[in-house]
Amino acid sequence: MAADTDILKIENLNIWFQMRQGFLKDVISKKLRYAKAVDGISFNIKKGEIFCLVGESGCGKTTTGKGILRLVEPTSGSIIFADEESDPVIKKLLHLAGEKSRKREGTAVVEMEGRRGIDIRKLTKSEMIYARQRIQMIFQDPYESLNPKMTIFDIIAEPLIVNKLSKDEKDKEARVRKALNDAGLRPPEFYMWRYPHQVSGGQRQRVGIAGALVLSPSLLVADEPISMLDVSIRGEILKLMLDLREKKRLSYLFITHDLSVAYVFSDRIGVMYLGRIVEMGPTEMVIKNPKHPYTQALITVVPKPDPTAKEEKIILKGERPDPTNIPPGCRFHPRCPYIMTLCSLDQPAETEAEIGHWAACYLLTPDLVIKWNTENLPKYEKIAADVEKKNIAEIARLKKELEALKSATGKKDTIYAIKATEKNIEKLDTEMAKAKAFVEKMKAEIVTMKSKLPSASRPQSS
Amino acid sequence: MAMLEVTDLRTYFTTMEGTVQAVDGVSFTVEEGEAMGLAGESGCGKTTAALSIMRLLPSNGYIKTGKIIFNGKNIVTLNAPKLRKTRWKEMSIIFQGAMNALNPVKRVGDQITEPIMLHENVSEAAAIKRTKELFELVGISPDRINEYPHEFSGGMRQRVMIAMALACWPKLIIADEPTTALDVMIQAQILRLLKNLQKELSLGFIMISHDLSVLAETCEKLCIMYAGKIVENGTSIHVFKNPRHPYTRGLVAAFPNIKGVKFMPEPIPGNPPNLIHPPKGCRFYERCKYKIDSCNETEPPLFEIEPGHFVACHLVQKGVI
Repeated sequence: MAADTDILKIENLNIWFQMRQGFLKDVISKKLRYAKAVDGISFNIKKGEIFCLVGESGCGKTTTGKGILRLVEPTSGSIIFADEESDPVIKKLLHLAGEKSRKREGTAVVEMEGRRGIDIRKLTKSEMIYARQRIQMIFQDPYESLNPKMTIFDIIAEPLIVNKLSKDEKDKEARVRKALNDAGLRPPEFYMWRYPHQVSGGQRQRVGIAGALVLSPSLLVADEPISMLDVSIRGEILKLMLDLREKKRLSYLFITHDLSVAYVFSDRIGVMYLGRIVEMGPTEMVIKNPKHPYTQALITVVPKPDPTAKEEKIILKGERPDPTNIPPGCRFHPRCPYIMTLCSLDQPAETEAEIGHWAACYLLTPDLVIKWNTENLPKYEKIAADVEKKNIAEIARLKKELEALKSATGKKDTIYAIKATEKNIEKLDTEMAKAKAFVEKMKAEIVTMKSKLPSASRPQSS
Repeated sequence: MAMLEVTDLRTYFTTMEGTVQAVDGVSFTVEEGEAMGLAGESGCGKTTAALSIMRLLPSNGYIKTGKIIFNGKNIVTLNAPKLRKTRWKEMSIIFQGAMNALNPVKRVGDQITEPIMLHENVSEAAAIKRTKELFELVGISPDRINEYPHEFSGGMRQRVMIAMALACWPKLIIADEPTTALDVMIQAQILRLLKNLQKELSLGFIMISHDLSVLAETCEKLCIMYAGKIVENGTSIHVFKNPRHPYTRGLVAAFPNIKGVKFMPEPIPGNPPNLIHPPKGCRFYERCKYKIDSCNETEPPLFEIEPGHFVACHLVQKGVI
């Protein structure tokens, strides 16, 4: 198999959770509300690659990882897993997936680039067991993910029992030993019969990794595997994961909130915001030359172990928005420091900034913004003019009324009436100013975007 | 004279297996308006040191020896009523988990007015007024004082905790991992808030964290703790630019810098020693890659390597590393 073939390809994946609105509303209302945890993301992982999803908590990165293993059920989209066909498990899976089943339409086998892949989303429950032998997950918290009442041997042997993979006790023990060895818990007999509480945090995470390795997977979904560990042992676990990649040609989907870890560990990064990937590319490019304002802000706020670093931090206001109520247009626009008119109206397309590095932001397409703004400027100018005309007439009328009221002073209710009319005039004034400012802003955007056009960087008159 | 002066503090815990020497001979000072960071791995005694200063130790913990001189008073020997007057009024603490540190069945405003009314002879109306001011100071809308903790997000709850710590305008604030459970963006917001407040009110500030990079950005002075002892002590520039103790070197190398060169965080192999039977010599001996046999015999004292920069290592003292 060539080095740069995809092992996993995700296209337009959606994972929505239905919101409960109360029994009657759920039954009667036609419009269901969803929390769109993952909302149309696409990416691929190459064989032997470490792809990293980063983002704040609640951006959908863990849901994506779980969706790949169908630990949560994806709403739509495709998750295509294409491993070496010589592998007996994949062979069996391709055979099963190619067959018709009452539980799915058509087949789950997908042709891609001359190879056959399996659409995980279309597999039945019994077929999923085979897929999970090759895609495994490492969980975040080694203090919670290990059953305290089971010995380490039992924890690691469990997947073998579930998948009916061990021929006899001897074979089972040999496999567990091998997994422990691979995970760096040597000698295995020293750890095998202990309980989780008898080993340290770093060793617990190694047990978690051994539990994933025992089925000899080819893709590992690692969900924040080091964030619960002490700093002095984080490096050990990262090194172990790198070693395993070298030895076993493992691919990783590495999920983390820590950009500095993503920077040193991964080959490619996808930055997620509110269920979408906003920027993706090779790690070096994304970190050293971020294009999306969200990525730029995230990088400045990562604490740096350097007391002399004097860098302006871009601290975004507010907390992360709510996935049940996604803002229209670019979903980052309410917090974006560079917000433009177009941003709140239409979703920006993924624009390539460098080879293999794209971001979804209008700042990368100044020509598009200029075109849209120039096209729509007359429309908004007309609206502003209309508002102005109408409001000036209205204000004139109200002012007359005001004078009439003022001349007839004395009564108590006229004081209130005067106040109300004054307020109305003020309201109309601000409305006018707003409309004007809107047009001015659009004009200003054209000017700033023109300076960003590649041709503008050359001096035009000298 | 320094505002807080801790000398040779030893805090032990009685457990079934024996006496845990969690903090064993720690000394440091905090001046007024100075921010000091206390760093180390989990279990190194940094939280215990903080709790000793507040005298908030659990029932099986006790201060064996040592002095904690705060504003001329020795905290260790204060009796309970005097201690109550010192806490909150003169020094206060921000706890780690804002989720658990707030009472879920009481309105947040009430939880702040309560200490104000207890410590200062003011009416409820005055206390509520001050609570509103505090809320404004930490960046929460004062209208929210009647809400319950569950109505706040994690970052907002941490702001409430900060407001609560400031309630009686103390001169010293101890923050125990104030941003550990928060997102990076919220962490940056809270750190900026803490730093601004510390400067504006010229507070003495002790920040405890396992995350050296957070301390690098907020503190002028750093103490690195390992297994109940301070192994290195100096300004943050000393510690980051010229780390001398092998443990500090390892710790600094364990933090990748997103703005710097790409390198894999270097692990420090091994585990901290058991503090029931701590080793006789250097406590880092087991994990140290420079160790020589004599390190295991005597305990290294803190040694001033350059003005204001102390290191506890035999090899550094001898000039070997």
